[in-house]
Amino acid sequence: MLQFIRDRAQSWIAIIIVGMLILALGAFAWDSYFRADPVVPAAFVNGEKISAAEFQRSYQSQRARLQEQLGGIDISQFIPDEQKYKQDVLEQLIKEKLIEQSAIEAGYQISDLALGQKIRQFRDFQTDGQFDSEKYEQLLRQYFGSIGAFEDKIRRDSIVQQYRQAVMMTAWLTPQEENYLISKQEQQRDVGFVDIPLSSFSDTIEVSDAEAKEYYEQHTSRYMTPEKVSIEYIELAVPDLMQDVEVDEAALRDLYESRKMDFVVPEERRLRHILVEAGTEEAEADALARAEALLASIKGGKSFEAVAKESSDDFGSATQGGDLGYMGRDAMMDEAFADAAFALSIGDISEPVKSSYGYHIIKLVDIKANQTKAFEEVRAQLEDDYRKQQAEELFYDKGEELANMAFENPDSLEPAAEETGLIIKSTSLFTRDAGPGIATDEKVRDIAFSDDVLIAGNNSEPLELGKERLVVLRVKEHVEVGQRPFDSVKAAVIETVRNEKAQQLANMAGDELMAQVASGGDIEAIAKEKGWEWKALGAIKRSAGVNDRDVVSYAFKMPHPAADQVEYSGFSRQLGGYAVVALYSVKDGDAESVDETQKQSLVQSRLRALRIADIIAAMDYLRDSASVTVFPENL
Amino acid sequence: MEVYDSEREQIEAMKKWWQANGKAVVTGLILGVASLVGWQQWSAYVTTSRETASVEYDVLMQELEMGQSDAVRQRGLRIIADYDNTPYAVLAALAVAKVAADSDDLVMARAQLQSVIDKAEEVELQHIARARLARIMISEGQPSQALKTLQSVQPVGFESLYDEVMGDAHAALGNTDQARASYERAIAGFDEAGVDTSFLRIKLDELGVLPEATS
Repeated sequence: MLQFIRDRAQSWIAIIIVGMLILALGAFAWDSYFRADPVVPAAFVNGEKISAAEFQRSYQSQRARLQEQLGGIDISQFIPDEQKYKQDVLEQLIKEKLIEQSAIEAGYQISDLALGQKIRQFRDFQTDGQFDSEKYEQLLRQYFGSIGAFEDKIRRDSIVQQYRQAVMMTAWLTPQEENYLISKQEQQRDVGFVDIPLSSFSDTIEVSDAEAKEYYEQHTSRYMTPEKVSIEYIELAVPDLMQDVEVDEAALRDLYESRKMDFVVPEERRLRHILVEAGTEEAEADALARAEALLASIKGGKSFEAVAKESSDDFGSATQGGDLGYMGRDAMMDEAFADAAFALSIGDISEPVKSSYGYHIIKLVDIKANQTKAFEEVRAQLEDDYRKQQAEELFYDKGEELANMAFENPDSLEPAAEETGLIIKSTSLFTRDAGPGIATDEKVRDIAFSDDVLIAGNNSEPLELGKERLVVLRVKEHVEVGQRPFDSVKAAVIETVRNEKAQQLANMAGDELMAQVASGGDIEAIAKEKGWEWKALGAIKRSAGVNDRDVVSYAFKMPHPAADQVEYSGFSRQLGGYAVVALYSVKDGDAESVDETQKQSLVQSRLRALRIADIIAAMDYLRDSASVTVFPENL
Repeated sequence: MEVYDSEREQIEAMKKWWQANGKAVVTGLILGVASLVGWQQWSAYVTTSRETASVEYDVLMQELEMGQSDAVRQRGLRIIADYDNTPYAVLAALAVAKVAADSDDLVMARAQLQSVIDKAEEVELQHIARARLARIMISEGQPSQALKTLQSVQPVGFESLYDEVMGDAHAALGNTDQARASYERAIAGFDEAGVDTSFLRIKLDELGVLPEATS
């Protein structure tokens, strides 16, 4: 026997068999290696995928939430750069994913039991604080397709939540830190200041034309007019083309026939079920026995609905007498369950059917047979599709013509317009930074100011503005950067020079005043003598709602005065002029005497800052050591 | 490969081989099966204790949210003792450290934060615990030790967080310039990340260093 095998093993039969095996395995490996993954990625995070669909869900819901907060206000004011906003949303998803990975790696785990409880507590599944099975099922089908995917998502979310809580809810302030916080937040400083305004000098300053002219010449770049262009352009857009498509009734009919399959509404069955959960293998026999006992009691005359209400482990449907509503085959979570449901006739009750959740007893209540929608019902949709399809074909054809003609005749748009039957439009003059109409788009302005278009005077390359819009443009008029003539800005120049001089004088006066008080002069008296206003602010808190915010904020930066001394300091004010500040005393707030609500609000806002700082640092740390690939083109 | 003349000889050879190696093969098989069973039981045990610790931890967080400090301390310490082999022991230690720090029990807070640094599987939690530990040290009047603790590592992402605490330590030591530099770095970093810096600015103001003199 062994001898026989050995003899044959060297024969040609063996060679052929082995050869075929190698080919088959090779083909299999080749196929699975090169078959494209059907799920489009938005990013890979340490090898784990965030799908483009997942990203879209998150992006849409965040955008909707923002829109809701804004009410009627235009959202584009808050999202000036949509692409950037999308990247921010994706970055957030990536960081969530990193937390999830870190937690799973460390061994965070959620048991089935805990998961069930969490799901029941979900606000989204509740109506008036009670678990609502209809809502649960509806949301589940809408967003997840299968219970498994949903549970997995909730598990991951719960783990991320545990991690976040560990970081954020454990932030603290020691009593010492809390006292320090309150004493500084509630600190009062007794402050007064002398206001030395520009006006006390500017009236006396004469600025000659020659001086102004000299300043103007030294600062020419401040007195320029910007470079401007206006453009002519040809715009090709699918929505425009759609309106021009002639609709042929016969073609619509053909389209209807060829797509009839799309208009079939598949058969749906309305089911009730009773679930007996079987967790472990030992429990399975018990579960089957229980299911059979329930079935027997129904056969013995008890109503299916009553048994479902009392005994079903599917807490969602039990309250509805086991009702699952109408479901297509696709909506059923389990193959065996679906097979059984589709084998029943109306009114029948199945034997216990085993699924991954346990044993089901299924009752078929009603059937909605599959139907095909009539032509008239879907005509509008078909027409729209037809127009769109024709317009897209036209778009590609005309786009090519446009590109070719514009390239072959770089000095004019006329030939391209004639060839494509499109009209030439134009804009008024605009700058690099802003423009009207089509030039509101930064890409249009960039290309209008590009060397090839502006300097060489050529037609631009075709510019894609979104998927369905194409533009070719050329410069119509070009206005160079200009120098504003001195005479037109003379008044402004004189004013500027006068203010600069006045500021210098104010600074000098301030320094002098500081020197005088340092050698024992009385600040109020000197101010009065010079005609400057002395303003006593009194004992104020950091957040005091007074004018002269710049003085308050400066006074709170000054060193504390020594006992029975006054601390003086001065600064040039932002809006012109000089202030000499006198700080008489600093008194820290007393945590005992601050009222409790105020105290709590200070402590809570400090804790919030600590929490956010911690979680951001943790995410940044994880991000830095992670391997992340993003696909901006899939957003 | 040797070549045998007959089937009988081959069987003889096999028997001989079995006599020589049989014991080893049987022992190997038994060991293999035993370790497989053992490993399965071990991982079932690990899973169960993680799942139980996870539920206990959820309750702990509820108690923390409701401000039941005594309950948090008791349950937290129990999780740390009973579920030392799960990641939840470390999370519980963070919670116990919080209720301890809140009530000025700095010794307990310090011990718990040190255990997070020593045991956390999640490196970033070690870094968070280290910043908190340094704050405890400052509250205890040991700013130099706080500085040493923070300077022992330089994790990416934690720069601003560490800078702020280092600023506190320098301020406590009277190193105004270093405190100012640390605070300013922290403010720049936090502003970029969108973290509220209002109190940090107050601490900077308290140093009494005025902005550069007039223009």
